Amino acid sequence: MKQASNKGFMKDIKESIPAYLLILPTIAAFCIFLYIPFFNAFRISLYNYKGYGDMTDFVGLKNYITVLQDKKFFESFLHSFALIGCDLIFSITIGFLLSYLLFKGIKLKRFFNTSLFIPYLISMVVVGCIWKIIYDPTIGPINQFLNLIGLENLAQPWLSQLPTALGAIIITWIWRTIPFNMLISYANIMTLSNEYLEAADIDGATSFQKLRYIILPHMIPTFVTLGILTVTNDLRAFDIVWVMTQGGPGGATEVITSYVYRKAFSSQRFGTASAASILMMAVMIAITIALQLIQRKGEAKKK
Amino acid sequence: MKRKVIALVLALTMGIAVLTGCSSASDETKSTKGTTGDAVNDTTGGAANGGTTTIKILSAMELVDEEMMDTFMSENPDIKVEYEYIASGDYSAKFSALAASNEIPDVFWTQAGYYTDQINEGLLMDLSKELDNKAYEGDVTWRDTFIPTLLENFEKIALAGCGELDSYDYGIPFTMTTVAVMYNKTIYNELGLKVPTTWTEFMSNNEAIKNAGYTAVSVQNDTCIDWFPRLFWDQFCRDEIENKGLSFSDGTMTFETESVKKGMESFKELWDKGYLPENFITANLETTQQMFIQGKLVQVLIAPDKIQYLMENAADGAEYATFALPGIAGETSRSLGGSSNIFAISSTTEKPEAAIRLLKYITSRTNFETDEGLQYSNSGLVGVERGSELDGVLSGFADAAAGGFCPDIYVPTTISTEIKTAFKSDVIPNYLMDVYSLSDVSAILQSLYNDYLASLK
Repeated sequence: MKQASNKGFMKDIKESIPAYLLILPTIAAFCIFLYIPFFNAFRISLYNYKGYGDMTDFVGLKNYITVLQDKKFFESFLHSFALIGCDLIFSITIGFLLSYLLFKGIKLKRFFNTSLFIPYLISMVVVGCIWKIIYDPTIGPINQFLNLIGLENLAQPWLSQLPTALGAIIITWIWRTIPFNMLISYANIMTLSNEYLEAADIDGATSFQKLRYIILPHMIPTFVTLGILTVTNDLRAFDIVWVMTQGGPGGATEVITSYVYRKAFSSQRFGTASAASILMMAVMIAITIALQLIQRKGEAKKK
Repeated sequence: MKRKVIALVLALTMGIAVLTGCSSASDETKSTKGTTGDAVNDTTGGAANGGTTTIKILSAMELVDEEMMDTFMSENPDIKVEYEYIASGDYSAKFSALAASNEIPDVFWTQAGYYTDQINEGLLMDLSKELDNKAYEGDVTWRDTFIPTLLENFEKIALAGCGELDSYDYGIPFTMTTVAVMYNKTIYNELGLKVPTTWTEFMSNNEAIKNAGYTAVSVQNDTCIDWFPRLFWDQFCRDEIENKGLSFSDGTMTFETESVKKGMESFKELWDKGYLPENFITANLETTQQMFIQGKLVQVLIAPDKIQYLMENAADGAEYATFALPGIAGETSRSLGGSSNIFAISSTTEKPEAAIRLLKYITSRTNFETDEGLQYSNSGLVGVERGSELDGVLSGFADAAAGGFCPDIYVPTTISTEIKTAFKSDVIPNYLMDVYSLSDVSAILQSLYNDYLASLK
């Protein structure tokens, strides 16, 4: 009996060889570009290391303790989550509303469809540069406009003070992500069968009722997917923040990636930076798993 | 069965293709390395064979630009220079990345905090023997071409940051950097102001400028945000450090010392009174330049290498001049800078001769007399004078230099990359924005400094 099961196992293995060979290149690429750097980063996180010279000062988990005792680390997480929260609420909502407008049909639909997508095509660095000029307190158009219409009291050094700096960054970020959410929403709203809407018309449903009871339920899986993409994408936000404020003033716009970058490259604390990035990765994995579990639960309920 | 065979064949083909790809890549690498190796061989043998040596330079000073490299290459056709510029604010990140990947350029710019770290890590070539060899031109030794006080000031950086060493010549000071206030003379005249000679006059001018709706004073960019406190410490702490012999390294002086706190408080006073621009914490060079040119900012604390743009883009009718910042505590006003811009050679360079020749050229009389961009600079070299037509505009820099220089590492916020970064990007902004109290500032800086001292043991 045992012999027969061993035979079956060997047979399975033999049959799977071509499949293993097929995935071998991918596994190799993963090892070279993901696993080896990861283990290297983990090794660095156990040393007091400046990024150059010999790695000799083994400190164990001290770097992790340093990071977990650093108020700035948690603040940067908080800023990242503020960015994610605002992006989830405003970007997906505005993106959906724009896609709904396009779906309903407006004049110059093609023009709007293309032009609204343009911000997403511009590189993050360029977006950061453009908005940095827009927010500039002396030469920026926002303050110049406010001065022009007599609202000089509202003119602010947008990126240079605590109350407005993070908000200014978040607005820029949302401006950049709306087109993507709009496009995905639009693509999905177009898959909605006309029959439902025609039936609703016959029943005398208003536009709001059609939106509330037909379109929104149809869009929920799309919103969940957009939510997952937003969370994973926003946790990696770096370019715009770095170009616009470098995490300043005084850490007011520091997000988790800029925190890691500053520790590594500005303060030359590669050990601490690696520890922070591994903690960040753990949080990202936990969030992704949680979101997927929620998604699965939702799907199971639906069935 | 047939399917399995096809799958197996496909898998093998893919595997072989990948391996072939890898192998050709490694062949390519080999051949590239071979070329570099050949270039290295060319360097040694190649110069004799009429070949060229290629070296890399990383500059964070706009004055050391591609044009300067072109002139050097035309004078030294056996050397090819690959030039790269990085803004000083991004230098630390760039250098760390290069060092981590063992790609440190042959010649590179550096500054106090980075310099001492680089010496401690053994990244810099000892240039003491070379300094006693001949300079780029003439019969004098390279060392003798520099103004002696400049080299003395320069050696103190390594002494303060690294302690006793066999040699303090791990780099070369480039220009005698001076910091002075450039002001808009037209607005000064319009407001009936006079050039201040005391701190009280300076503050009174600031008040008048602010009341007239202008921004009174700033520094050239956000990476120089620590200039005011450092200048104030030079005044408030001078007696204790230079006359009473107190020192941070032996603990007789700390960041809790009253004179150190007073420097920070005086800086905060400038901010609280609204003399500094609203975007002081984040304004980069371009923003500050635009504010000054547009006549919104009246005075800017600036180094000579940054004034060319202002002079060339001054608005019609606007007249600019300079003055030395008066001492806040009434002590002789000393300038920041001196030997603050350093060029060094990598200890691992494979082309030391070419790198040294380039370094000698950069700090040569020939360079300072021919390069147009250096017309505003003080060379720091013996017997090299600036054109007299600029003396009027630049008199402030001459006055500032006349008072001497504050050592680069004094109150040790510039002693290491980590303290320098924390001071500029965390401590100062949060102190100005009332997030940190003065005692927080003292505690943070002292803790960082203690860590630094511990790391040396």
